[in-house]
Amino acid sequence: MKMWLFAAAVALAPASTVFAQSPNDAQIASIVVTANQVDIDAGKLAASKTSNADVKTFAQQMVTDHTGVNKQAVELVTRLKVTPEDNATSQSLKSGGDTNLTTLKGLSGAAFDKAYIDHEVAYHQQVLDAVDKVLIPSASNADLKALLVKVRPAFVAHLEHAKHVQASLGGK
Amino acid sequence: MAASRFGALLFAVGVFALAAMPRPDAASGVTHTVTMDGTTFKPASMTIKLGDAVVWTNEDPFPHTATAIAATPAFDSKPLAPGGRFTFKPAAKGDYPYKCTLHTTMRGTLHVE
Repeated sequence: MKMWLFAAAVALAPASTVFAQSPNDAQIASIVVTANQVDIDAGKLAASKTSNADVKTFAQQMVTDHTGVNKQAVELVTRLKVTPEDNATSQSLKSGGDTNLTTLKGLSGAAFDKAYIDHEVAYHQQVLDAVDKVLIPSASNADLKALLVKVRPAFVAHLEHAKHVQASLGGK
Repeated sequence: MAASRFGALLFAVGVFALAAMPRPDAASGVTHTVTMDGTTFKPASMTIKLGDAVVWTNEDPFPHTATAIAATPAFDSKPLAPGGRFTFKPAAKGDYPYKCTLHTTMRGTLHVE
């Protein structure tokens, strides 16, 4: 049930993405790496495409921060000898990220900026919900759980930053 | 002879006591450490004496800053890469609220007395 909530919340996936149980550590590792990579890819596109200074600064920070988190996550799972296990949630994340990139590539100017930032606000809120309700409670390895707890405040800061940029764009 | 041994003992105790104290700054005072860890300043609030120094160390896997919140900031580390360090030695007493300009939820205060 928890996994279903996560899949639906993060990837805005259809209800067909249903799991009967919580993710194991190998699946959590895959979800964490994929969730970061999705935001890195969107950030790279935004940084190269926007002409808005605030959006560019935010996008570049997303690339930097999430790359750093992924580097640490990969180092941890390597040390723990955990092989990230692809699963429906990580696949939904990847699919949702690809859809977002396709949408963004068809936009330009203010419409692009708004679509990118609106998605970042929603994405970070949903990832935070999943981190709190599924990933941290499900992680069994203490180091993996500690990594999730350690990076959580950065996602809160990203959400606040995204909301600030959204407001400056005249958004919600 | 006994007086000599007593002197040596006193010297040894003195050396041990000095070694156990916080690291003195080059000029005077003590150097304190604030870590940037989990997108949080630890400790978030610190009281030091005028003449002391503070070193911020970034233990997160992405950059942070320690930047005084003021029209003319008393200090600004600029982005510190993971593992980076920044030292500030206040020149005046007072409260120095500060934040990370990259993660504005991350705030701290330095009290200098």
